[in-house]
Amino acid sequence: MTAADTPLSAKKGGLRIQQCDDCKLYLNPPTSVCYRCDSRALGLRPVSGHGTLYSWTRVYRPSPARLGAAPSYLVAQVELAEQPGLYAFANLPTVRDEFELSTGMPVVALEPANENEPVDFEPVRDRGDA
Amino acid sequence: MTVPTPAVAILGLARTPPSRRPLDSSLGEIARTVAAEAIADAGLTPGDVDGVSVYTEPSYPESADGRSTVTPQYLWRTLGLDLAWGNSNNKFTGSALIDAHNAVAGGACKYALVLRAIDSVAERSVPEEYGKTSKPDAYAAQYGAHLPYIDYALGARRYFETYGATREDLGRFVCRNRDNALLDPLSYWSQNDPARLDLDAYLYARMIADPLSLYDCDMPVRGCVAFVLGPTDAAGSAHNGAAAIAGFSQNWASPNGPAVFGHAGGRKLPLVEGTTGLRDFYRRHLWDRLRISPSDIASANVYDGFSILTWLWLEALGLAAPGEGYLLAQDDTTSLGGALPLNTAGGHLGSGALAGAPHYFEAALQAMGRAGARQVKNQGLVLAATDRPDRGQVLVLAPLTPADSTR
Repeated sequence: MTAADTPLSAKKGGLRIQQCDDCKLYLNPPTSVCYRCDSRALGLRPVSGHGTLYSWTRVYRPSPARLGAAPSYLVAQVELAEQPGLYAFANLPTVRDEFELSTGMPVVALEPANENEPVDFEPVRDRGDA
Repeated sequence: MTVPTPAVAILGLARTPPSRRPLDSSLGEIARTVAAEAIADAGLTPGDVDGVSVYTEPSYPESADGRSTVTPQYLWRTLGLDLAWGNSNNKFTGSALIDAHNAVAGGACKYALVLRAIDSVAERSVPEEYGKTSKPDAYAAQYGAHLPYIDYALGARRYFETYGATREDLGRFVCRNRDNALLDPLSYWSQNDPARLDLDAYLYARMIADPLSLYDCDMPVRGCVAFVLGPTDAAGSAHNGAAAIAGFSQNWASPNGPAVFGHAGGRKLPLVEGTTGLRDFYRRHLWDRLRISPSDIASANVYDGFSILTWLWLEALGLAAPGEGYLLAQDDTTSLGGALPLNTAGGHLGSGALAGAPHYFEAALQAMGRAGARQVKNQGLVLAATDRPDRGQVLVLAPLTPADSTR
């Protein structure tokens, strides 16, 4: 199982992460001043969409923004491949049973339905497994 | 171990039993009553108190003063204090006590009242626009991830996966915490639902964010806690004993307020890995500075606003090895009869979300020898630590002998 086997990937340019133009540090969530070099030249740049699962939780007491939606939802913290300690939140809509999850497993960004939707992730699965 | 007699001591204290019911009287009236009790407990009169530290929510309008918040000016006016020093910036009780200590030690005032009047039932009713107030918050909100318990659930899951801990491990700590709370007549559970919690009831409790369930989260309550600090050599007048402030430490690695993954101008580290890195900080800025070691601590009150934080604190402080906080928090060592009794009054899980005040209150009672059925055998240094280790406060309190207070 390699990243190249994944049927879905973010290679179409789905996931963009803020990067410092001066020192090239990635910053997520977006901020106004680079916290390494103090530069204000920051912009959203496409990234590979590959990463590993740092942690996850199934949320049963929803945030106010999710009231009235599904009775529970998965929140994942993903460490992106571009930089150690570069984290992103993600929901994992294709995961039906969280017992298939483990920390450190490879995950990949899904193509968002439209450009305003947050980017979701899913575990990297063998072809035909999903 | 030799600790020189500290300059500043907690001379008196008082609190209300925490409640979730609507208040019979305004927060201001309750604060006034509790303040007067704490001042009397210290053997003082309001006229003696010339310093005040409270916390005032910046968002509250002036008209809320005395009703849903309490300012230094409110206490000054209603208690007739002659204030030389005031502070309203410290949300956590640990920071308020440290600032008051420094004000007394530095001569800004002689006697400082540290008071926290909280209506966290009201504070936690989340307004609809929550999540739109700042960039990091809005970022997390897109994923339904911007509430504190989600942060701690992610940390707990990471801890479980890294060290092999389970919900049973968390449950055994939470159940024993409840037993301790039931020995405190003023705890939330003694007052409102005096029943033990068994492991099955813990495991079947409503899930909040897996793996954290209802009993892993402190409950919003209404209540008030007050301390009076003064010079150690005035401890002779304290009616019920005094607890010297032997030392303290405050960590600033992580910003307050909304921040995810170490941004918003700070370096908030991942809960589990970041905690391991904090061991060096507390070794240098707590243990080495005080010239004591973790084995000198007779009992500890370590923050449990979310249960997982106690494990992380034990490791950050060096009371447990990395990855072993979950074992220490449930074994015999940390039971009431053990070598390091832990959260002897049940902490936040026992008394509700009161900005860390329950931990310092219990630490002071233990150091004064006033903890009743919970009093630990070894009267020695008592530690209290609150908030999360990467932006936390730690105080070490010492019992005072009559010789100390009349030196």
